[in-house]
Amino acid sequence: MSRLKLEQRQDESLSTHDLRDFIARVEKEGPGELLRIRDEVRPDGFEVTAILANLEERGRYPMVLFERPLNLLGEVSAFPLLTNVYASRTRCAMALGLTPQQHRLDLSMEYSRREARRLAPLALEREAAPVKQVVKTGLQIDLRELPIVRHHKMDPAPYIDMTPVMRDPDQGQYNIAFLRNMYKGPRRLGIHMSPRHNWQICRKYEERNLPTPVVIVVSHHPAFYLGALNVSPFGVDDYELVGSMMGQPLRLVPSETWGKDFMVPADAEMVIEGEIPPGVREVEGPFGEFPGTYGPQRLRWVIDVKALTHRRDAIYQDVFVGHRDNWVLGAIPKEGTLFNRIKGVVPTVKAVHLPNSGTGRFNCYISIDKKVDGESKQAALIALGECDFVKNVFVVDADIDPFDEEQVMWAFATRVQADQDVDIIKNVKGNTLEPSQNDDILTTKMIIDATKPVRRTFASRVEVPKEVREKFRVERYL
Amino acid sequence: MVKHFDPTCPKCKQAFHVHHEDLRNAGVKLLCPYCGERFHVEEADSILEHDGRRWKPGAGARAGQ
Ligand SMILES: [Zn+2]
Repeated sequence: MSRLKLEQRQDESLSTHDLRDFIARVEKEGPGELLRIRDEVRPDGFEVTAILANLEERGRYPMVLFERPLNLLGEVSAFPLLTNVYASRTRCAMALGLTPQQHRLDLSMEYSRREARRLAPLALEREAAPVKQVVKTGLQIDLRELPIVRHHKMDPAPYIDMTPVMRDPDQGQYNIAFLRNMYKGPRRLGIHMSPRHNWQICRKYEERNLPTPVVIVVSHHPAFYLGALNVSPFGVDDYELVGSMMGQPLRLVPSETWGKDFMVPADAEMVIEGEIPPGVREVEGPFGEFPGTYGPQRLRWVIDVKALTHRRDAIYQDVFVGHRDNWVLGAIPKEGTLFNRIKGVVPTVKAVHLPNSGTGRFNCYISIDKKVDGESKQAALIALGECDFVKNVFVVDADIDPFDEEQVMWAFATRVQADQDVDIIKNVKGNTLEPSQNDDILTTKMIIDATKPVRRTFASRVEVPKEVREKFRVERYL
Repeated sequence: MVKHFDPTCPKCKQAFHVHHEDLRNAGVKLLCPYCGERFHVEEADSILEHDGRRWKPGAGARAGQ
């Protein structure tokens, strides 16, 4: 059972629990960060992702609030649709109560600090829970009333791509994960799981021939979702970790289907409760996945929907999977953790970044103030060992900003001899969705040491004298 | 990447990715993501196997079994 406390210290950096206050803050403090679209659009006809893709083509990544999306019945949905929330690190920093300027390593380190803490959730009475303002069960439920998004051409149906929550039947901890849910009918969804934590929980129920309770948190404050991506081991209660990420206890309320045996987030905009029947599999997918490529059609579990509860004026949320919205989300939780692990061995590590060009996962840029030859290789090996998503590690000197890809590529161009500075490591555990991998499990990793050697001379970088630059500041001319 | 094969839908003639281990020999109908047609692997217009071989199920031997 998750520990529930009635009183908790609250972090003043976050004053509210809900999504709409976050939207208001972004609109007020982040000019250009929110785009409102008032035209009617068909999310299940690729019209939402068409607009996002066209913005992306112009190098624009605003959070987009579609105020009049159509639902699957072709009517204007009662629920506005919010997407692309995580496509900028600035907004992710704001979600954790940081300033927009703290969007680089500060953000990763703050994530890492919060991930290490736990904050017990708080139980609310049903009447006090916004997510219970509208409750539908049984035949009252019609998922076609939602503005569910069909993202990419080969997706067979609209998908809810937020976070199902499951509860371990033995230890009682809740686990939250981003998993894709295919629309299959008014009260039926498909669900894809990789062999990770929710898969383990579902397997336990199936072995007992029992349905697996599942709650999809369709929309909540973005700190909830950033917390959901934690890299903690199996057994950690994600409700406690999300509380730490939000800077205040996650407020919970009993579910409609299982009562206090399965608590749901009280401040969510919308949750879907359902059961995964044991032993049932149906075709699901293909689906445009996080690498920006399709995962194949599979034989996967289904969810029988039992309840839909939401705020009266709920906002429906979506992630633009396979794009920057998805990549930034993936990068932040890993950067702080990797930085801390590397610092334990290479104390002069300056920053770690998983760039969007590597889907926020596959490429890792590490800068170190190298004192001894070989430290670069140590740092790289830690990153590879710590996170199986990381495939290619670039280690650069402290004069290179790993958040500036042009600088990293400059170091790669001018400080690397392939026969001496590149190491290939074969047959390492990889990721099944990484499209270049030609084995189901094994991949090949690469270390590129783009640091200068310590024990011999090396051409210095050009520089314009600093004292002269300071005399001629460009503000005078711009 | 997990092994996949690409069947071409008998109705709309478009190809899509299908997980080899899950569905190549499961006897379950596939779902065309483009037109919604449901069909058995053997009913595909053609199949591009994971090793690059392309064949037409109606045209003779059943490859890749
Ligand atoms: Zn078709």
